[in-house]
Amino acid sequence: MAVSPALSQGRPYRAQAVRPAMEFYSWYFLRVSGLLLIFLALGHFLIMHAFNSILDVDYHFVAQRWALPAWRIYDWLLLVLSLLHGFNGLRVVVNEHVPAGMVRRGAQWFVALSTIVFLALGTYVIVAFRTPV
Amino acid sequence: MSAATVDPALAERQPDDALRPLDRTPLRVLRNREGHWAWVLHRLTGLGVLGFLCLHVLDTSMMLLGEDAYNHLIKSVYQQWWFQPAEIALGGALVYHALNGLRVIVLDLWEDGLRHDPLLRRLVVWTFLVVMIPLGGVMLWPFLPR
Repeated sequence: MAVSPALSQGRPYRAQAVRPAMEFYSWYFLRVSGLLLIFLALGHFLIMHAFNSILDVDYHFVAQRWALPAWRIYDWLLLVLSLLHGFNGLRVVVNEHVPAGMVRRGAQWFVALSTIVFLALGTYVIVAFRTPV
Repeated sequence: MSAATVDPALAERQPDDALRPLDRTPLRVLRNREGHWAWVLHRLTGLGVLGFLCLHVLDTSMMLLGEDAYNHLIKSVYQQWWFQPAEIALGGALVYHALNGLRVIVLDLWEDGLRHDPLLRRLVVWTFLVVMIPLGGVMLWPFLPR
């Protein structure tokens, strides 16, 4: 059997770009976060569009909600879980549909950086907002 | 990884396809299974909701720019009549993704699940209709002329 070129050149040989253990955690996380998001995301949507009308939502509406720390915690949990769930799903889609090589590497970096940027921006907004007096 | 997380049509891959990377799988083996459409819809609704989520983080960040900036955006987009179909589509995407996600979890955990998949898929469709028809009505109600 021929030795893999990567091995013969003394570079670490990687049969797969994905690590099985990490894929298991990703699989597990998608399910657990998905179950939590059924309550958090659908709850958020119903609060904004069914129990209230979108016509009621404005700066004061949001400011009033964020006057209560409980709603900031709710919104932050929703932000973190939905971003990690969504971008993890996008990561799986990229790995399955983008041909291996430079383009996939680029797409993976794009997914990772986007996750960090949106997590940071969303967290900053929820924490930094000051309730007007 | 369990069967339910992979497109059921992939089960039709030939033995030597195992040596072939997934992204080289010809499209024709991905066709013609009802479960395939559930899988396609799950991906599309997931990507759609993720796209909106990113926009939503950006629009909510306008809260830091003050009352006028935030209200201007909400009034000129979210509260316009022409945006309501998009809002309802977002709700529909969320509800479908949630219901089909539950189906996937049931298929993962229930050993005999795949045999009952036709029933599960029917449950997804009917629950979707039972939730979305009233929800769509409630969302459109304030926009109806009177």
